[in-house]
Amino acid sequence: MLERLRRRRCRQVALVLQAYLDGEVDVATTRRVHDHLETCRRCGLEATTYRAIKDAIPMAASQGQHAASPVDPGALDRLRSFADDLLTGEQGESR
Amino acid sequence: MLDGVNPAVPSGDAAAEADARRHSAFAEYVQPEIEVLYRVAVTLTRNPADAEDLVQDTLVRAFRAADRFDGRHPRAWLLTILRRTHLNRVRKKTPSLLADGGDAARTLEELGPSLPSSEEVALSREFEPVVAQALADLPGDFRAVVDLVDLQGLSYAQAADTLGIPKGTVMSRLHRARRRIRERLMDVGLARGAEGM
Repeated sequence: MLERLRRRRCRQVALVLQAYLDGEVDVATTRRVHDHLETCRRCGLEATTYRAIKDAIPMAASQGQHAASPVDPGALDRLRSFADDLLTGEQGESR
Repeated sequence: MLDGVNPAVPSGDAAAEADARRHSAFAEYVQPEIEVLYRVAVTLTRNPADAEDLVQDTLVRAFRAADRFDGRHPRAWLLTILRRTHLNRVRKKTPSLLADGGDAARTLEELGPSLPSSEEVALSREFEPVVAQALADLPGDFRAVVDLVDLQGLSYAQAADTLGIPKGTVMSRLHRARRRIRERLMDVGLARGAEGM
């Protein structure tokens, strides 16, 4: 009985998992799916896989462009200075 | 957070140690990746000025988290923070386009912080080359939806308006595209199938 209920909840979560990961379901559903993913190992793994796919997409999409496109050296200099300022405490808490 | 305990503000020696770890990890793992971060940010934002702002926000988040970073796969860790920071920025800029005014996206952010788990970082790094090939092989109409939602961070409704198609079509193309990517990962043994789901 419990197993049947769990399976039904898994199927319900599978139906909305993608929309959940995209922040496209309502608050109540978000909480319900989140709670299920915390307790169901199989659905939790499923969510981790799709999150990793979503995270890999920008890296994968920009692969071919790295060699081709020159970047603005001024922007890189400013970002490196910004990072140096974070280390010396001149940035960070103000943002 | 635990009652009365703010882990972000340790005291005394612990604070000094965390601070030293943060500084050395930031210098070792983050600063060498600034150019890569900027290039990917240009891809995501398609605008050099927005890309610079996005990298600055990413550097701040990475700096704050650097003392807790385990040192594995720094580029994948940073690019994941970059992508999630980008999505948060896009959604804050266009709250009216979100389902229920952005409440769900905010709840999602509260429940799952924008810092990735080390498991997600390791997986996305492993997935990257296969995902690149799978993306290249997607039909054009699938790829367009992935570009708008997963790269540019648009909501389903916004992607539907941009492409002039129903929101349901955006959802079905996006979900089918991701399933195809997942199948490619399964083909090479990088992801498992979900039986009965």
